[in-house]
Amino acid sequence: MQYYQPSSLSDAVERLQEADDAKIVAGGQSMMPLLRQGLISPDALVDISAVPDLDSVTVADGTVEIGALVTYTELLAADPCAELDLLRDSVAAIGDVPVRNAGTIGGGVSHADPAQDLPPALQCYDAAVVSFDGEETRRHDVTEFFLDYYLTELAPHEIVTGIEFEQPPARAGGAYASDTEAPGGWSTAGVAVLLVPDEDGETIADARLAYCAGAPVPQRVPREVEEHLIGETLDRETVDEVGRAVIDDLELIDDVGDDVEYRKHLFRVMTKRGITTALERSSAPPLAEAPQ
Amino acid sequence: MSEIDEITIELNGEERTFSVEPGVPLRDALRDELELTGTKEACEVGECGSCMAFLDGTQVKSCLIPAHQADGKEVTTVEGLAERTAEGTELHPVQEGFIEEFGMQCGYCTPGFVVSSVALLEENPDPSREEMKQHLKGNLCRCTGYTKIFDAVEYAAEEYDD
Repeated sequence: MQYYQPSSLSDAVERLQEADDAKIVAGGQSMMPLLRQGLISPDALVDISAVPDLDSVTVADGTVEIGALVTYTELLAADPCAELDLLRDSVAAIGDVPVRNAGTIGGGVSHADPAQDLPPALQCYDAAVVSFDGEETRRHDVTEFFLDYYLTELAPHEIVTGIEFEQPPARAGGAYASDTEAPGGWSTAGVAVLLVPDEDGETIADARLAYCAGAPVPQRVPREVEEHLIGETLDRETVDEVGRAVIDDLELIDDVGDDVEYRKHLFRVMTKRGITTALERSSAPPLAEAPQ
Repeated sequence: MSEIDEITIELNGEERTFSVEPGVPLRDALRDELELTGTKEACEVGECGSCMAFLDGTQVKSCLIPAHQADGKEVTTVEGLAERTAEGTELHPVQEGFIEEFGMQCGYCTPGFVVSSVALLEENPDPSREEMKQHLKGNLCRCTGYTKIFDAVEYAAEEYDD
């Protein structure tokens, strides 16, 4: 196996194109377990950690740009996490402190593990995954970026350079609710919610929900389910209906030691928790006990 | 563009050079090439935290860091925490805490817990129990519960105050 540490993006793409089966390594938190367990045996590792200009978080004209090499710990300390509850919740839910210290946002989305905590938030923000393939910069819609377990739209020599999204209005409220079997472990159910009230802060003008660990890819909840929440002052019954509707969208696998019915229950609870927390954090009226 | 053959790190304050195959984790380089076995190996996949070390002052699981990525950086292992002077060795307050509160049983996870606890107290010298739990959830102890470990951190935190 060869090891390269290119100092520019174009050099990195060139190395990836030269090798038969090269893999990109950045923070190492996903790549090293795959290597150590013998699940992959690339002929070259292209370490992009020394590539410049991929490590900053900026907010300009309402657009948040996060460089691919930004670690989760760096992102947690950056301004967008102070302002955006959903982003902060999601990043804080990832692994544990040392994993967040080394793991990068670009590495996470490229690895495409369906149980990753951050992609649902990015899907609620309608984010773009920005990549470079040696010739052009491409912007992938993050709701279509993930194709299957560990598979994305990226070509083998294409490198994620960052994530971009429009900051939601201040009156919006967001939350990520998740459950893990063990502290620091993968989420067994994770639901991201973004509620945008109308300008008067009376009803919900837009609602976006997405989840991880419930299907081969992280995904947005069907629009018709999200629409249950739109145009209303939210009440407990509506929230419960949405919690049950989300279950119908899941593609859970009956596996050893994994009880599908229990997982569905978790998703229902996490959906309700996500919606009620997001509502509390928005400028919309508090949850009503009964339909208004 | 560079291919790295020789890796040079500042290990516990001392410059060290070694060579390993690409993809070998920093942990294996520390244990096998540099012969510091305080950094433990157990799970291989970043679940147990027994290989915890500092890379340029940041707490990482050294089994998940390619050794090549440490080139040119400072690495501190559990062996580098105590102060060694002509008069003798002065343990780090966290090490003292684990001894005083008996924060261990078999002791295998202890170096990892010590490193993580040092990282916690560097950032937050007076953590609550909840903050300790949050910070130490990357470390597993399979012998017993975590109460004595949290007691050890609390002891060390008091030492930090003085």
